[in-house]
Amino acid sequence: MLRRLWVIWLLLLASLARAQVDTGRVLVELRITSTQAGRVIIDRGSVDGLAEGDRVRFLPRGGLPFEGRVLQVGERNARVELDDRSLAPEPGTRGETRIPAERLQQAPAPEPRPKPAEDAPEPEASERSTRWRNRDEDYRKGQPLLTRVRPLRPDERPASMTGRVYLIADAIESSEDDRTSQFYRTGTSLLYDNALGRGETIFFDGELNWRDFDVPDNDDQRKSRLRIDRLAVSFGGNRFDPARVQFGRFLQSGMPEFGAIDGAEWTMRTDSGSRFGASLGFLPEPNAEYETGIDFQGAAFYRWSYDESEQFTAAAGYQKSLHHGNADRDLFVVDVRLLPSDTWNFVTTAWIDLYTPGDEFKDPGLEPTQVLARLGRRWDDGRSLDFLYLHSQFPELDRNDYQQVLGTQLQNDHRDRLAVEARAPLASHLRGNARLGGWADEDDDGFDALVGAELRDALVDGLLIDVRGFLSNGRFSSEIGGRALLGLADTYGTWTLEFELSNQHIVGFTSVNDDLPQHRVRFGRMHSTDSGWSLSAHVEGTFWDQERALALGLYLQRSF
Amino acid sequence: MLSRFSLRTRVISVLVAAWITACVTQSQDAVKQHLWWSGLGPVLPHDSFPADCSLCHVGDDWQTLSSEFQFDHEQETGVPLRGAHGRATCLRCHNDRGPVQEFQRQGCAGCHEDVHLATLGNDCTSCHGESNWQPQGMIAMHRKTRFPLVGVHAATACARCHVGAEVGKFMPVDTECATCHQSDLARAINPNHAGLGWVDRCDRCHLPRTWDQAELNN
Repeated sequence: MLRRLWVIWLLLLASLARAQVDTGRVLVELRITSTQAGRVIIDRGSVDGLAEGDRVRFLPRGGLPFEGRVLQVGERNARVELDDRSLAPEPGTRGETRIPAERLQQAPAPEPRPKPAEDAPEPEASERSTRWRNRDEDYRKGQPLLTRVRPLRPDERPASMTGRVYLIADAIESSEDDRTSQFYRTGTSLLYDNALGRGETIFFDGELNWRDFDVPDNDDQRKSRLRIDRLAVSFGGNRFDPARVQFGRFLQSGMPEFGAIDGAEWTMRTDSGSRFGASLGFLPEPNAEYETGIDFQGAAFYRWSYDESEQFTAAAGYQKSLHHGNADRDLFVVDVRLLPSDTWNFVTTAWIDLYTPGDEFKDPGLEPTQVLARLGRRWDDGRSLDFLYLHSQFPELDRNDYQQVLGTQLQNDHRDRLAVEARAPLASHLRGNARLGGWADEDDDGFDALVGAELRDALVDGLLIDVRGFLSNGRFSSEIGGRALLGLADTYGTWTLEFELSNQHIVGFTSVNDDLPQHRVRFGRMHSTDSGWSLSAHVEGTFWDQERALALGLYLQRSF
Repeated sequence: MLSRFSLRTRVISVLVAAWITACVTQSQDAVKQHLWWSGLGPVLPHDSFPADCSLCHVGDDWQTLSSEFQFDHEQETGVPLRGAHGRATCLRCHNDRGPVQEFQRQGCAGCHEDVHLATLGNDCTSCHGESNWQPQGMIAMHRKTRFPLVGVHAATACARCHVGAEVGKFMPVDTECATCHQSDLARAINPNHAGLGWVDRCDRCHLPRTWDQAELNN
């Protein structure tokens, strides 16, 4: 008994001695909240006295203790690098560290939360800081944490830039007269938020390109162009500001059918989701040069929306344009969209020109220049059905929107197309698709048909086998053929190999040599990385009669 | 050939090249991929997220996400992000324009501007994939038209026929041969096509493989 008392007394002495040695250090218990291989985040931070470099000892429920070193300290958490980086402990694992006591006295006190006020005043601009602070508007106890938290306004946010840069190279070489064609493009698309501190968004899309057409016995075409597709600044148009104003060169957002302008646009969104607006500016010429200052336009639109979801909208707009200061086009656009997710959806857009007695080849009145309509449905089991209608004819314009059009073509030429497309799963991994269309113009009519099936992930994960047969009756040729595509997807992209064989029968050719077999082989790779790089490359050979053509394509993009 | 370029073009070209180089060569660390703005709770509800904020947020603000932040969009939301969508910063879609679901229901056009001015319909995926904007399948697409691409036409740059192709405009083109081959017709002097009145219906004698092998059947 006495011996036992001696042992206990010695143990107490040892404990007291250890406590004496540890005087000045405080034990901090902690837990792991998340883990990655070799690194963990713990639930203690600077308010608990932790500092970079502190040693932390973890005590897993099963297994040996292990240690790590504090790498980075937040107010209420810290990142710890484990000595053994192969470890991946479970969240919730206990741990401890010993810190100097005086550090606790110096540790910054956590920012007190502002008391909820009945009418919390907006902070003055001078009070705003890039450092986050709680700005609860009228939070009430019992509400979810993120309810009614005052969002930062666009002008309070740090500036940020996203976008992409790209390089595109296309080269074609044909044995037919040894023609060559090369087209190289490099450009960027940038979106810069709040660069000027006014909550604005700056857009820039531009490209530098070089084209070289080498046509024997004809003038070669070599041209380099710098084209600015977009350079604009916009304000508003978000949940804080229903009005949106945009200046510069941009595609009209209210009614893109009116095209890009060099000018200004104002749009307003109502509480119900409807929108209206107007724009003024020059229309850049719709060609590779994109020169401006020739055609001036003014436009206005109204887009009615059934509700805020904008699943059912109807819009109408009017655009008046001048060519070299003279009246040119009176264009109406009508657009109806019904886009419910669980039943039939319908989209149609009509471009309707108004002609006056001053127009030479068109009768006064309204004439539909272009109509697009699509009625479709998607079912949950993967089936889909679409009906499409297309009508187009040439408008009488001074503006150079189309290639040279003669007066008789303005009066007579038109094109109508009606088609139905269907897709359906046929079996596990197997989908079928079919298309049937018919067209008619001022002189002729014809049709096109396609039927095919695709087998996906059947034999090997990522494997795609797509086989299609097609028939087409065009204006100058009719063809029948088939196409097979073999694709293999991996983690970073897809390999594709495609072969197509068709027989082109030349309609109207007066001699007997009017059948032209045509082969096409294409090999490509689509590749993308987590770091934002995207590559698309292909080589394609086309062989017909004794002639052949080789095409190379490259598309390299970096998103950021 | 450089001498053909104006001084302005050269200067701008150098500036553009420098700008692109700077963008490309900057490290990923220099751009905060997952920068998140404070107070966007109503736009991206957090109520289904783990209660432990430090799983994603680090530092003394809500804007900085952990460099190891990962989010399985398909598993968490039921919406898979394919191609470039999987690499886009959160705020490209989740921002204060409104709830992203409303835009998603409108298809591609809910978020992407239609540079084709709506003239090609609303099914972008018939020409474009989700990895980049490189169009594909143009030869197959042409089989839906009056003008399937035969012979050398299948290996010709789009812009040779569609004048606005480079700015995304594919206006209808008259299918008569002379619309595109006016200069070829003007050069055809042996025999003299214009003199003989052979100014249309080229397809009666010429196959769409070469002008040199016309076949007459008189």
